[in-house]
Amino acid sequence: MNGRSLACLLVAAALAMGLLTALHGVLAPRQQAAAEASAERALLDLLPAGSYDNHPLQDALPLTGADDLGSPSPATAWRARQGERLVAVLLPVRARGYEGPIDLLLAIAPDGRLLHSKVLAHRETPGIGDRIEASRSPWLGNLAGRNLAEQPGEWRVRADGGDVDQIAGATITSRAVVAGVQAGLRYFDAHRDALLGATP
Amino acid sequence: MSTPARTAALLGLAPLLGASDLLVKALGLALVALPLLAGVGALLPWLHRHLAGRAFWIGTLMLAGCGVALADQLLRAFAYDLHQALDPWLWLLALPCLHLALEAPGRASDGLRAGLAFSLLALLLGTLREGIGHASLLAHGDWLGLGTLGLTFAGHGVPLFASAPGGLILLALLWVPLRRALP
Repeated sequence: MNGRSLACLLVAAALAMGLLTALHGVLAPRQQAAAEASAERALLDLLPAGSYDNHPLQDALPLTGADDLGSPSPATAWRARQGERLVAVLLPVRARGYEGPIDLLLAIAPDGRLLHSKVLAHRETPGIGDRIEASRSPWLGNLAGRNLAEQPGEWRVRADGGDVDQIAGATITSRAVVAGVQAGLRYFDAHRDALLGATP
Repeated sequence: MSTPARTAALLGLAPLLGASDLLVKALGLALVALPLLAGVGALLPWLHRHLAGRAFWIGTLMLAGCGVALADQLLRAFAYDLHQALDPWLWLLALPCLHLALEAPGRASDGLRAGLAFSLLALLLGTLREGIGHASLLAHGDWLGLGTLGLTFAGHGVPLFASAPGGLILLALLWVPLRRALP
């Protein structure tokens, strides 16, 4: 490689870097906004679209005593509102699964009823325990609509004499998720005023 | 075709197979690959005139890298979800550019032809793989602002064709008729 080619390449590299950096500078705010909107859509797909009109991720509430949820502190709850009315409290819960922690997000109605729940992260066995994911099986959706006032039996899987069908071959995972959801609802009942009060 | 050119062509199939399981991803890939290959192809004869040997290859790599970085920035800003879905594969679009450079120095329009061939193949594979593999067409169309065009067919589809091995099988089945049809 002679000196002239090298100089050409260096100048071209500097020019290209300058151009790309400038472009990034111009587009960065838009990219940031797009990333946040996408994260919000992914996190909030457990609430029906149109059932809230605020930005729940910006209506965050630091949780006290989050150890009861199993979540690593500091934990945060988010609130979805339609106008002034609170629609749901989004509560992160960490259940102890078969292979490791299962991170759940619960959407709880102000009356303490579970609206919906989703799995954010888990390490359960592919093909068996991963059927807690909504994309693999509708199992988790069966828990929707429950509240703590129900019979204790309705909060146990069938293997333990309860009413909840467990995922075949993944009893420990199913039990962990049911217990996690129940812990989340208990936390909601115990901290109801703090979670429902304090407007941003 | 020389051995390095054949290797680059083979590696260039990676983004094609990796990102053609959904039609919307294939469409995104085609929208990036067509201007990228056409642009790189148009600049290659000029690069050949001014640079030789190792400098030419460094220049080609830089050109391809810049083109993909540009596409990456634009997709990230204007079609973020599609960008996330295409993520590792987008960068591998530099490989078909290298393949273009490895072929004997040709005309400036070679890039456009390669881009068209790549894009058409991506769209064909995307249509077949999503149709057979997912029993849908243009699912997630909202990633490209085509949200209302999605179709869903009865049944569940054959998951094999949604995965890369199924894509390879389809590509092999398409290869012979395509080679006959394309000059």
